[in-house]
Amino acid sequence: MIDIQLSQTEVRVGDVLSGRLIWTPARPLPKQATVAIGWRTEGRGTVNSQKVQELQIDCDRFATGITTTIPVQFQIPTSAPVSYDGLLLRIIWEATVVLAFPGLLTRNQQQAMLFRVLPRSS
Amino acid sequence: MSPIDPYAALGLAGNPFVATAEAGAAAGEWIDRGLALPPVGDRLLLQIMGEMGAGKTTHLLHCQGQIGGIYCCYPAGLGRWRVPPVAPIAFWDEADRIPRSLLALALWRAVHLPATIVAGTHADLSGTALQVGLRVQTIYLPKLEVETLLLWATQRIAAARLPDKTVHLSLTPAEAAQIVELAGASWRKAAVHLHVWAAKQVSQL
Repeated sequence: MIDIQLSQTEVRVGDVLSGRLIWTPARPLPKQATVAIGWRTEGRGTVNSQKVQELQIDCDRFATGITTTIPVQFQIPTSAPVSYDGLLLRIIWEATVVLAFPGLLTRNQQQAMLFRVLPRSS
Repeated sequence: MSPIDPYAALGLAGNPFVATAEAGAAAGEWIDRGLALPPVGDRLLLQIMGEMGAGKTTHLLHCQGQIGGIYCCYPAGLGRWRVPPVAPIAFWDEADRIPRSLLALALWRAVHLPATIVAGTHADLSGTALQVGLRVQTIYLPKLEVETLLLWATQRIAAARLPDKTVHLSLTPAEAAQIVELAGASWRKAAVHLHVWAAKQVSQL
């Protein structure tokens, strides 16, 4: 199972969120690997979500049986909504890594890690 | 510092009473009332009646998800001036908005296909259906009750449990009674009140 680790659990808008992917692949190797950050709403009412930034990972960096660590960085836009835990609504930020494998019968692997986006302090 | 996911502290993957993005927005709020699925192609009008928010749409969408067929919801205003679709099994939501002439025509087609029409309605449509030769069956969705709400809330909380975690959230009969009083007859309103109740429990951690 691929693991995504974030160097911080809270980040302010406009700042950089950094982390790393750690994976020891077995066969088959993925045909596509992406890591993304985004937010989604959860609660009562219409659900909304937005992928804010996505990075394609070069799958040639993985080799069967070898643990590979890939650093990743994302800039949180200054216009992004901040995390919110209200009574009727939540805004949840998460970093997600998705591995797509060749073949119809092989399931994609997905792992997500939550983090909080805070407003800028004046 | 706030926890990243405050619901995890209660052993939950999130608020158990979130609305889903599925059609009807209440797809996750279906309650097993022991009602059988409607028969297909049975020259039958099955009326689902109940107050606003009683779960008519949810029940129609649940049945459609189980047995297929066509679902349509009639809007208010000019949009209601269209002939309802007729198929071996068809679900007409807000069917009391269908103009009488179009309703009669579609029900007549249901006799000759033959079809089963499941109609969510606030008004009794049996007069028109009987005139064209359809059998009529009516189900009144019961009003919101404390015991049913407790059962449903318990199921939703259990469904939101994180794997291998113990849930530290439970609705008491007194809290359920208060929510029933606030929600009137509406399951939709009850779900909103339960969502707020769960969020308050989390904020008090």
